[in-house]
Amino acid sequence: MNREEAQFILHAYRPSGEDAHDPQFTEALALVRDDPELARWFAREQALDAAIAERIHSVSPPPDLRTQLLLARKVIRPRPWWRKPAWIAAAAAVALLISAASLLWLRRNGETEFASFRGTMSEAALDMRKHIDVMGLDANELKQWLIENRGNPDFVLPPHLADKGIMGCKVLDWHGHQVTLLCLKFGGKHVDVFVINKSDLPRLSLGTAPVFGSEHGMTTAAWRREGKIYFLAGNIPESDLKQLLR
Amino acid sequence: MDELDYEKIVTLYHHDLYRFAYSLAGNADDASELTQETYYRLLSYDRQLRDPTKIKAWLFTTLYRVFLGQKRHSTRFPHLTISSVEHELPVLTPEIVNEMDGLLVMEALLEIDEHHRTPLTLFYLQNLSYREIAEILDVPIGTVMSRLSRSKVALRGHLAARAAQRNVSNRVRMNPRHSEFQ
Repeated sequence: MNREEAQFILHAYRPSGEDAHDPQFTEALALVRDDPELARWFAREQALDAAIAERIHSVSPPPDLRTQLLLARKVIRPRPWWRKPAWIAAAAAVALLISAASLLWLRRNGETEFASFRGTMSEAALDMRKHIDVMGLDANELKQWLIENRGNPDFVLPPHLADKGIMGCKVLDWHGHQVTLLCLKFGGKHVDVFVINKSDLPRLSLGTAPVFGSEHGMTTAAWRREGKIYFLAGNIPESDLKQLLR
Repeated sequence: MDELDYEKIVTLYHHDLYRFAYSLAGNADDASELTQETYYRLLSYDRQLRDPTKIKAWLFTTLYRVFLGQKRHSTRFPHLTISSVEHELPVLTPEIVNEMDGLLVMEALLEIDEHHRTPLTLFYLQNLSYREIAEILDVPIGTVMSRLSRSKVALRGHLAARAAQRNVSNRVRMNPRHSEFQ
């Protein structure tokens, strides 16, 4: 090994000294011990690397990033009723009976059906575990993946929203119907668009203009287009969402 | 993975992941978002991560892949190339670097093209050996060494240029009449 070869290899030697026992560096380090000029070069190199590393380490994340990362774990699905205290379960059972009676009475009501859809999809939007099944696909790969996974490949998003790019997606099952979840993230915002065939919600009366609302603290919008129902939920102000959906 | 494990992983790695993300994306918002997405994926895929010694490499690999995936759909991550430094520059010393702000060093890093910048940032984070860097970037060890060698020269050029620029502006500040003759 000559001096140039040793210098080339030693560029990868961390100034923290953690690579001291890596055999890859043994020969180059031996040369450093025997060659004073190489030793001076190496000392300068290590000092400069240490200074640059120290400066890079002085760049700190925003103070709230750690809190946000820890909160991500707290966003969980509601606990199943059988795990809740008995009195809550009893109250829930009574409520369930009342709800069941109401639901029987309202079962033909499309709005109720859509409220159930909206609620389930909003929970899916909040659930960060298994949030998406695939990410980083281009438009063709995404279409192919949706075909293979029984999703809705022929969705059409409003142009301003489509411009944001789909980060990932997933296919969900809702009472035996396939729902496609499209996840979009941009400028610190996160929205999910759920696409279901109109024929799966036959009694729902919904126009092509978005209807805005809120669910679980998120802004929501729902609209119909070419035989599909679109439901969007996300942490985005309604005014911004209106701009994206215009 | 239980709550304490997750908290420990956040505490141990989120600073360096954020710095790595910043060096890829070039701004704080996207860096935060990339870091968050990486941890969301950790929560989603924790069943596959039974070996705790692999978590560090998994996090850096995942963040890099998330970045590459998002870059394909977006123009927000600029692609810059190594620019040649044409003027005569001062010799860069650790003392000069020590006087620089961390974000200024990050800016200089961002002037290097992504292929060279990525291993260099991972090297300076010092958490990962060149072998681990090669695994994360999925390139041969020799490629990592060669990129490190080239990118170090480029980074020093950019840092020296910034140091020279700062010296000129300091001189102008010290002698306001200087600007009248420009």
